[in-house]
Amino acid sequence: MATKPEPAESIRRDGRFSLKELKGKAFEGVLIAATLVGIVALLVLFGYMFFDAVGPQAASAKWYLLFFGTLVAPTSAFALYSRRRPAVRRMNARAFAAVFGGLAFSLAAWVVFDATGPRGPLLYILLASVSPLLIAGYAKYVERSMFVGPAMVMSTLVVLLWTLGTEVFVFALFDLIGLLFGWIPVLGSLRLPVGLPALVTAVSAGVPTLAVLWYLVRRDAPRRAFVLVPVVAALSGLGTAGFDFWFQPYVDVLAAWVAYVCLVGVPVAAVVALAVRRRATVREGLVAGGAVVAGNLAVGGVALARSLDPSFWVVMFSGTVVPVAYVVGDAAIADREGRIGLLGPFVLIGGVLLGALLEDVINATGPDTWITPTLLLSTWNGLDPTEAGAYPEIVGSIMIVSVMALMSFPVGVGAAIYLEEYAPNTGLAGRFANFTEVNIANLAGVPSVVYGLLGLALFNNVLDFPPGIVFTAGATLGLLILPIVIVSAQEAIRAVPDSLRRGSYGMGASRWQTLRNVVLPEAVPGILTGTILALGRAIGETAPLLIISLAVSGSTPDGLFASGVALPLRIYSSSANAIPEYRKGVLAALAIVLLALMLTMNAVAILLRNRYQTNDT
Amino acid sequence: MSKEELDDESDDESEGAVDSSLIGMEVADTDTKDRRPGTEEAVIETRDLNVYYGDERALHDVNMEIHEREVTAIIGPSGCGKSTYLRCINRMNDLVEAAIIEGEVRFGGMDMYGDDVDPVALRRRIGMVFQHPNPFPKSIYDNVAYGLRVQNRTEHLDEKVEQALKDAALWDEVNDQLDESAMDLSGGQQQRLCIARAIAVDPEVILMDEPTSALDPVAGSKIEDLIDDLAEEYTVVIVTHNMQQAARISDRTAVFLTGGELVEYDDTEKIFENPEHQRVEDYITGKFG
Repeated sequence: MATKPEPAESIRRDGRFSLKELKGKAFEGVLIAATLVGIVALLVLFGYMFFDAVGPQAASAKWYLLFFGTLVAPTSAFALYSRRRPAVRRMNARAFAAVFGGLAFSLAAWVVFDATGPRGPLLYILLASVSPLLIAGYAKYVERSMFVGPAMVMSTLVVLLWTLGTEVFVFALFDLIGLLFGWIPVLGSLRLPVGLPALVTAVSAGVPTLAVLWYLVRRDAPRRAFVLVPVVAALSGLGTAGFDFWFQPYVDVLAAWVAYVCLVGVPVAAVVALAVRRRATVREGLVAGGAVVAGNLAVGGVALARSLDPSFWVVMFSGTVVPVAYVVGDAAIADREGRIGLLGPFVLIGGVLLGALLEDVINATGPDTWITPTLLLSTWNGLDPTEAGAYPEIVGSIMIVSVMALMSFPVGVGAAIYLEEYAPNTGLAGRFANFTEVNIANLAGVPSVVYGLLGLALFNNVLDFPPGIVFTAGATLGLLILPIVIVSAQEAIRAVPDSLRRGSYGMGASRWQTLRNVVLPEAVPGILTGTILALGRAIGETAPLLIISLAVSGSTPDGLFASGVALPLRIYSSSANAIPEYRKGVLAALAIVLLALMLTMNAVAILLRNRYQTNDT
Repeated sequence: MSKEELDDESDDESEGAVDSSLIGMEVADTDTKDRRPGTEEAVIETRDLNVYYGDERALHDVNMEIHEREVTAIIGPSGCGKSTYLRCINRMNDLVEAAIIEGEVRFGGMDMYGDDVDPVALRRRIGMVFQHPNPFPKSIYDNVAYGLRVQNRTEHLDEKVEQALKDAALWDEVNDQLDESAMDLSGGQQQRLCIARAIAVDPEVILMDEPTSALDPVAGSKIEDLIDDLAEEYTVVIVTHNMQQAARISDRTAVFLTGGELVEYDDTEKIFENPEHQRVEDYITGKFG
């Protein structure tokens, strides 16, 4: 009978070297390598790009000493200090978001509105706010708030459509109908009994009027509410007949900087007022909002007196100073423990400024960088690389991204809400919804070049827009990211637990109320994150822009229907320039600018997600 | 059989008819408890109610009357259709597309599945509390005010919220943290918040779908006390897996058995002490189910 080994013996290793262990280790190593391939490749690329764009080899040792002394050392010290203090870290993150988010917002708003002029956008915003205000007033008047939310959103969209281009859209619609049915002999030979403009007016004024009438009758609205019908008819009729042109002179009277105050300062003031009202009284909210507006006027006045450009400073005040002041004030009152965290961004900015100041004083040779004020602020020069700038392209890209967001966000979220919350699961309609859903997922994989062809066909050929305008570029890229937006919004909506929906329905909430009060607030961070990541992805798209014949070179676009330019196209064209400095330095610097734009957007997405996640728990 | 006789009998037969280790003490409690006056008026009536999920029949010709200001318990093994029945009462089954509902459910004499009934308005009069506490990720105040806000009844909101929290026996615990998130409350507090949320809108009927099954016993007994108080003002229908609970808190008990059949429906004491059907007795004494 074999003796059993001692328990201790049975678990002892065979020897120092076991083949089995070695195999396990080797497999793990292969997996790590696979994980790192992408990142390492990207790091090599970034390294090359960084060297080409920044030229750090040219800087002297003195400069590096200065760099470490003023920037690296203080920020690392601060990071070390806050590492074990969560309150400080949290406040630091908020301060960073306020300072750099504010800067990004103000600069983007400034460059775009500076290109388009403030009065046009202001006019549209004023017109678009008329109908929501009317509806809100109506709801207060009849003391019923049912359906006010969707009505406000819808009416704003309708007004924007009217004013932005009834002619374009409605005429295009008739063109499309003609295209689709014109080949049928009888229909093709029919002639309209009235002129096309009259018909357009009738359609665009009649549809909203009938919709309102139908709604009021169906909801048994009180008789006095029917006053809304002629108002809507008049508004939409006027809208078609060139509503915006009538008001243009009144807006033109405003000084440019006053228009900026209305355009940027007043909305920021409204946001501040709402934020303050949520945690304090209505009165304090009004005071805070008033203070923001007064501050705007004061900044404008001071800038005028010192003969600076008041418009720029007004935008910077509203976009950067106000959010920073809000966060600082909030911290001073609410979060004593983390207050020191507010210093974070200022340590960074102070270090940069101090370093720049001392650089000249101690006469240190800096890096031979291509990312210069010239590159960021002047226009292109194809002969002298040191004079080449990409300001129009940067502004063009920001405008294209804005159009993209405006086009894809409402449509994408709307489709996602329908598919998740309304679409039936069974029967023929359910099968149709399923089919649509599968195809949306498929659309996400369609190559971007093909989307360029779609944009060309839809906007240039069918709608007859001029070639290469900002709107076409933004809308084409909007279509490109639409499936991604839909899918990510669907996932965010699906992640909201069903028990919350049931709870809301059980309280006697309607579908819309449940959506508005329970589902969307929970899903919004996910929706925004997905959308912004998709926008960041699309900002670098080049092929569709080439197909819709966006100009490679041009001036800053001064409106949505002006011919546009974009940063990726500029990168593409400099890679083919005969002068080597363009292909090396300028190209790399432009790529870094594009990446910076993309990373800023991703940072916003991450901030939004973190913010909402911490609020939940 | 008069009530007195029934009470007398229960003393004699409680040992025999019911496993005393299971519900002995509680039966004694129900004896001493005053029978609620109950108006004997049926608030909800179902006639030949059948529900199908696809090919599967979840309810089988259910005829039942639910009486005003009483606690009606619905017990039965898993999958017997008791939750389905509850969800028919406030038309929550409308949200399940595959559900086909036949028969008649009358609320205050009106057919609630008629074309002229607005299910949203109906749910405003028949509140519901679910198995797992499901407060909204909002403040405690906003949770309770939710129903009033969606119904556009925002006058005297503060008072109504306070009253609902008091009625739900939660006010003393949360009155200094109304602005804090409801997700920070314990499970039992969350469930009482859900009850407060349901009664804030002043419904006529409150449906409860196993409201204590996800809670610890202490939190569960608080909810039970609360249900007892609620029955003074509201009609309460409670689905439960816990037979002691049904015996403790309800005035009438309905026993559903497999196949979605309502086997027996009577005064709680009668059901637990002297059920008509052998199957019901077997179920109650734990021989099956």
